[in-house]
Amino acid sequence: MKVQPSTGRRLAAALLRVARGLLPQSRRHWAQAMQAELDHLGNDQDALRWALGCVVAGAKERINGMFGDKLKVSRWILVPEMLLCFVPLSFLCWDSVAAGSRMVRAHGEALHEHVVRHADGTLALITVIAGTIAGALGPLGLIGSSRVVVAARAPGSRWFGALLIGGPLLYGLLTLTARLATAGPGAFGLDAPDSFDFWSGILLLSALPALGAAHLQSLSAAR
Amino acid sequence: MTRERRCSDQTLTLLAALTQQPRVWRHGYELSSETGLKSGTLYPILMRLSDRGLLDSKWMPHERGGRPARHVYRLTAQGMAFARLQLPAPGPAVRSPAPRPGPA
Repeated sequence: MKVQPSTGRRLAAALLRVARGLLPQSRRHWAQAMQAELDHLGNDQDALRWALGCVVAGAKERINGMFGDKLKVSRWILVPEMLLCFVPLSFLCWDSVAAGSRMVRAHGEALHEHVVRHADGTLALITVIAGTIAGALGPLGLIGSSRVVVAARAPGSRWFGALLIGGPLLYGLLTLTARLATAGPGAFGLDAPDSFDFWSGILLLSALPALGAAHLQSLSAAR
Repeated sequence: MTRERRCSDQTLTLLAALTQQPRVWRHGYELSSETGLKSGTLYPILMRLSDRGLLDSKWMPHERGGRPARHVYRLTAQGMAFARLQLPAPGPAVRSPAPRPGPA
């Protein structure tokens, strides 16, 4: 007659199955080694402790694998990601140069009349100029990402990468500082009248381009 | 120039256990009992040492037939050299400290 394993032993076996599932594919054979030890432990408590430790080992290896392994990204994912990251910044560039605000062509007297003379006008002007400069990084980011997508080449030098990450971040920081200086800390609340416009601007023109550029850099470092 | 990272205390404990009887194959539970390392700590270290070619492993059938084989481990020659580098050298026999020169 076949002896039924105890509840503790069945639980330990289940835990080892969890540990095996947690281990990365390249480490699965270690689960057999863990299982072999379990089969030699007479005491249920020891077996449970051993199996729990194996789950911890599996989780550690899974986490290590997540941070150590290079994740390949499909071009079908990378293209929309890069468009989302750099097109809004490119629109800012286009807006500054050719469309509504036309900062680049703005006449000095008109600027003085409509912007600088007003309270906090200088700060607003600095922010707009910074936006114009940061906006130029949008097309550059698109060019850099197209090199990665089309030709699988690095987006550019390390300095170019640093500029693509740092530029939008600096612009975001400047925008936050300008808002703090002009409207106070209360303007950061979600109940502020233009909070959606403000935070979506920070997300689209600062955070996403910087993250996209960082991702491009990590992809080129992996090659 | 490559810089060798210092091993963790747990790795040093395991290396010390493995160097005591370098030619003997040891199984996981034995190493765990000897070093006090739980399986959750022991196995990641064994995996790391094995990846670096410092640890040899094989399946050893149990002496009494019918019981499953066990995975056993011992240091490779490279592992022994590594352990010697990492482990503190055995100190000299305990001696009474030399008298410090005092004021005349």
